[in-house]
Amino acid sequence: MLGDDVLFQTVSELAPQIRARKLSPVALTESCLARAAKYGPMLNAFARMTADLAMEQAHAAEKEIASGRYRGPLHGIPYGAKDLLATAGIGTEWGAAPCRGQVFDRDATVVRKLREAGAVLIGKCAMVEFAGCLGYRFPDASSSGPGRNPWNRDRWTGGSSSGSGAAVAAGLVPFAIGTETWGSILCPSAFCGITGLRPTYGRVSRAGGMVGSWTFDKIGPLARSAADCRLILQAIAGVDPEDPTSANEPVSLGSRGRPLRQIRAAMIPLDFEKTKMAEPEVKAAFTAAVSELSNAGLHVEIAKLPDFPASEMAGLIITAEALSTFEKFFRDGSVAQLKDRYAQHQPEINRAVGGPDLVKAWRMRRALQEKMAAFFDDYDVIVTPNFMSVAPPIDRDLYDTLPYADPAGGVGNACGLPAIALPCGFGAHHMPAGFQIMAAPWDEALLLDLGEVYQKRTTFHRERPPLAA
Amino acid sequence: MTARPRRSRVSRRRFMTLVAGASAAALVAPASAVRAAARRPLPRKSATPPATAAEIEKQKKYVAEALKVIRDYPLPPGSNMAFAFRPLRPARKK
Repeated sequence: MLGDDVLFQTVSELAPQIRARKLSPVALTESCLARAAKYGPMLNAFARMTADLAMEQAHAAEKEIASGRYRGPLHGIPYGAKDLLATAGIGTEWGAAPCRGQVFDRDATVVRKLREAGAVLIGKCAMVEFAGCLGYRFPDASSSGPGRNPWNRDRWTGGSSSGSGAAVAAGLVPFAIGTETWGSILCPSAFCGITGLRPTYGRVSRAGGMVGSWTFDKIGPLARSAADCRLILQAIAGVDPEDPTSANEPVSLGSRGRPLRQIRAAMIPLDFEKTKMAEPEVKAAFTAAVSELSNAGLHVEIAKLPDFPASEMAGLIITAEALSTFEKFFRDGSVAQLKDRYAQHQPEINRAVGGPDLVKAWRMRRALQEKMAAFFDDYDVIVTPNFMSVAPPIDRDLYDTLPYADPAGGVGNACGLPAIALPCGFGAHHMPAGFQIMAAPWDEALLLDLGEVYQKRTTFHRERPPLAA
Repeated sequence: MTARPRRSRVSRRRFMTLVAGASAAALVAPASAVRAAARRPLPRKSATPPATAAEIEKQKKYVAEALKVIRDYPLPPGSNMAFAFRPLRPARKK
């Protein structure tokens, strides 16, 4: 079996070795499967393993590479896919008890693209039930149990891509695919100390993925570095006739090569001192990260996001869309099987919302888009903390442990903006802290450039959790 | 919201009870007995635990607050929505 020194390498490091046939995809896959079997259950990282498929794909990759056909940097690389992405003939249960036994007969477009790139699917990553789109109060709102953080198993991974975060952080896979409606890629990335990329809405086809919220859902990578996120996004991005919301934008994700001095960053400070549960250690880590980027040459100015009730508007639209998409589970009563005890009451809780309110929210969303378009006339990127505290304990009410607002998340997800989550140190209890950089639509390449610059100057993305069996 | 159940004067459960009661009773009983069956009170729905009920009320309050913010936000009449409806071209057979 391969050791930690190999299993914690980035895709960018593994790929050349595979290409040169110095590293066997079969050996790498066997080692990932063994590590996942050892640590996966104690982290609740996987909803199910796909060992047979993985070995089949690994042998195929090895044979193909030996014959001189190298498909690219993901060829022979193991990965995990969030259990809301359909995989032909393999269970896809959306983290939810009412979907137990659910199997689709086709792969999601993302899974197909990764298969075509030669990647090896070793398992379906656990997740919060229905990706949290009906709300949840406790980390255990998942049919797989609570996502346990590799840095401290008594603390949460973040959600809803809980298994994707845990699996990458624990070295069970070099990368995983997650999704974000609001926070579900950035949150586990921050809490688990890994790098995650939320692409622009429409950048990645969602065909074959569970719909939580039609106009908010995005699919993206969780990985060990910004450079890896670039490779993965390159493989999964692009227009897809099966997803009418996928955009026909050019997929040019190579480095922009812009000198940092020419890039204008808006630093959005958050009030750690006056915010309940905000931690000074996380603020210090964020401040240091901004200094690092400034020292690298980035032009950073303190700025404010437009004054706009983005969170209220986004919350209303997501809830309305979720109540509609999961209508079947309310109608047949199976929503009561969800772990979150309030999910079944959401229609009653939201009864006061009327049709005109939803249309108003849609009009407000357009107004916010216009304000943000103007904002990005003045700035290229936004730099702001990701979460203001580290991963909370697994058994605590999330309303108590994460009570603060997420203004950047509200604006970013409502406007479909891309963002990258980068680890920037440690907070209380030696748990990872992270920050985010957000850009205008379709500017992922710039985010990845900045992420790479930052990670060339720091080693936080190289830290490994102290896992013990 | 389309997921919100439409409220009617007779709840679905009450309606189904009436239909089931009427169908079965009609086979064996005169009309007066059927009417009596229909008038019988329904078994009480299991009560929501007080803590859950309180939390539901709290969440309703959050929704009401968010709705006030949304309803109060000024927009010019006819301002655009964030998406545009497009007619769907038929996929014609060649």
